[in-house]
Amino acid sequence: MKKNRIRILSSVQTRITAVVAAVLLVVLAANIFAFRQSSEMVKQINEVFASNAVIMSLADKLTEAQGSMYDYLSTKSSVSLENFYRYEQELREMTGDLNDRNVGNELLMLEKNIRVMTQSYLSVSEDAIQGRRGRNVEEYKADFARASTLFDYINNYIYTLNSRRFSRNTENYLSLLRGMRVVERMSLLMIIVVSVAALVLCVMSVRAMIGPLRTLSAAAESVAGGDFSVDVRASERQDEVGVVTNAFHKMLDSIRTYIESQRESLEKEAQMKENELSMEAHLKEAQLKFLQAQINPHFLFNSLNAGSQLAMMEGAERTELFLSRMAQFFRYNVKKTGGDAALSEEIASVDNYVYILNVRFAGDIHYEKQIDSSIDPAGIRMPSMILQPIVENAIQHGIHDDHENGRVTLAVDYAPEDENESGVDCVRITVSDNGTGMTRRQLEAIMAHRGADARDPRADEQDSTGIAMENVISRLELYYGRENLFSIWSDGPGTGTEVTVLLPADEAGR
Amino acid sequence: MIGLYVRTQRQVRELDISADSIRTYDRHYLFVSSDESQMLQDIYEMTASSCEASGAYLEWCGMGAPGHYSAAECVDISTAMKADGIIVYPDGSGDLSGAITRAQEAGIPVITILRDLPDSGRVSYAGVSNYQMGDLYGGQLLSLLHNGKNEVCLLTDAGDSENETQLLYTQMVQAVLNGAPSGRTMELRTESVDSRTDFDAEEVIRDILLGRDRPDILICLNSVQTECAIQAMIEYNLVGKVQVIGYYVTDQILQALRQELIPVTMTIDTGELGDICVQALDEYLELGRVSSYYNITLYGVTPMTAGRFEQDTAKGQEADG
Repeated sequence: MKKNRIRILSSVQTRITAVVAAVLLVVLAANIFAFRQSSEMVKQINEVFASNAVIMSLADKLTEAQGSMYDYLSTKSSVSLENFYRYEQELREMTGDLNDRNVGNELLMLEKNIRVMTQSYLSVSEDAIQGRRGRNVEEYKADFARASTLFDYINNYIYTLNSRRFSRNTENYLSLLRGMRVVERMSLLMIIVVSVAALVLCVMSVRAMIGPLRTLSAAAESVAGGDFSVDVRASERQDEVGVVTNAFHKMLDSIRTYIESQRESLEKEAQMKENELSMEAHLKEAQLKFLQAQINPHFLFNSLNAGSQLAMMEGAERTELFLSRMAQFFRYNVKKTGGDAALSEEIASVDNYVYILNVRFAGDIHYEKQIDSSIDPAGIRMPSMILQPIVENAIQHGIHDDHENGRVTLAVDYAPEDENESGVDCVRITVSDNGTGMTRRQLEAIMAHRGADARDPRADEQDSTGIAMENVISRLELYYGRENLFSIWSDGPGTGTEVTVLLPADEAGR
Repeated sequence: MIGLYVRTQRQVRELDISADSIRTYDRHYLFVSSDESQMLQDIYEMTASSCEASGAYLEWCGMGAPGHYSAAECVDISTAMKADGIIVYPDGSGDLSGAITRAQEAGIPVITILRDLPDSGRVSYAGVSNYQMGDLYGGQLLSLLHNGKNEVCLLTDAGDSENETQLLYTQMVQAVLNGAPSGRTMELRTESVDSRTDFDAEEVIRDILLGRDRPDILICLNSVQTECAIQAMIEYNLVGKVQVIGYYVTDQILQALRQELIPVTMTIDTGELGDICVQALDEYLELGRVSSYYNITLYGVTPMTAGRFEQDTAKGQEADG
């Protein structure tokens, strides 16, 4: 609730309304001030000659009092007497407003003189009236003469005061007119200055409000043009612009994260594609080598099958077995033109190969298998055509010169991750012989050819199936996507050779 | 623009005359003189200055009025105004003594200056003693007399009282008779000039100077007569032929002194006269009595002392200012 209220208070609409209201208030205040100044001046101009009117009114009353007194003295009319007393009262009231103090101003002293002389005049006039009532002719005539003299004096003083007031008021009037012009110009100037200041304030406030929106607009345009590197910082503002900025900031972050994940995914996919293509190329190469070495294996495979049936019809069992194992060996090679095979199939292929060689060499080749009973060879997948070339190498080069004493061993067991170089749990296949062994230079040459186009020097021999160790190593790494799955070791010439192949357990389907 | 606006606002505020914003005075004195010559104006200003210091307001009665009031009328007006005191320079008008008496009866003290009205109800007189005046003029005459018979003309004013003029005349003759060397005689006559009538003084003085009985020495008793005489001497080339003893020091008279057109002019200290008048009125209002006569010093200014007189006057004005 409170947050919503803060957001409403700090919204762009509220801010613009506040700025416009403030500007209007300031301009309104300036106008009111100018209007009041002008009104005050006009009021003063209107009142500037008011004092002359008061003085002239006083002179009129004095004349009427004098006339009433004369009438009364002449006719003793009660109306005249009544008028005199009325005018006397009015004169006393009017002169009561005049200055009665001794002050250092000529006009005010004239007022005081008129006030005091009027009082003297009224006193003498009263004496004259009382004299008339008492029929004291000499007295009221003398008093009337004195009152008339005073009447003249007062009129002269009133005239003097009036003319000086008029002169002074005229100066004041001109001063006020000049002041009015100055006030008008000043007011105009003030309104202009205030309006300009208000406009500047308005522009600055709107710019402050719209500035982040403009930045956001430029950023959005950059993003629309494909540039996601634009920097849009999160805003602390609570208004609509702040909300849009923060939303844009979050959206941009999400887009960047998505693009990064997409890029990584594509890279991984491309890598996998590349591995697959490479695997296929190596396999095709191996097959090509095999086909080159084995001229038309299909024909040979079919021929061997025909020979096997012939031997069975003639009752030659050993021949029939030999031809049958030959046919199985070549059929495996032909059938596994691509992809992988079960470990049991690989071992069977080795068995057939060794049997064929034993027929050739009158059973001189001593071959044995040591398979961990906990391992199911049929359930373990691996690249095809891996074990036969290794066993062939061991026979052809390891024990070739001494078949009678030579011995080749194929062992399959588990190798936990801490007991092998691959870093994961593996099924370990070891092919060892007790033959001629290898020099360090030969070992390094085989391992160094890995990944290159070089071939095992022993692979070119006519009696080989033709698949080089480099081919075996490459296919293992491509199939499992990791290195250090193949190793070969010999303690030197005459000490035999041991080749180890590691099949990662999680991918081999243990 | 803003400065002009502020000044205008201040001016507009000053348009409202309020007694509260102006200095107030304890007393209101009236100065009465139908003579508006430079000397009387100087006396009024100096007296007003003394009043200011004493807390009294001095007003020249009738000054600036549409009509021309006599001294007697002005005293009556002052009485009707219930002034606190009146200073009168008598002009010889008819009922001045009566007017002064009426003022005195109304409780308003009146002081006469330079011309006395001892028969009126005035409380005091401030002026030059006629004896002193006669002696001084006699002394000046002695320094100007040439061998043989000297025609001397004394210009009197219609406002001067006959008794005072007679006293001055007698004292002057006595002083010359007592001091004149043998072979130098003086024949003194008086000519009346009515200063109450406009332009009369110049006509009378011109007639005197261009007439058959042109005097060797002309004695003036006010500044108007002196200025008229100086102007006539210049216009009719009478410098050296007529010696003029002037009265008072105006700019024109001072210039004539510097140019040695006249040998001497007699004058009074107007500041001293103003101070005495105000003190006398204040004293009367306070104590109910005052000295009936205050003597004012009369002294001569010659071409040799004109410079020092001018310096002293300037210093006095600075001190008052």
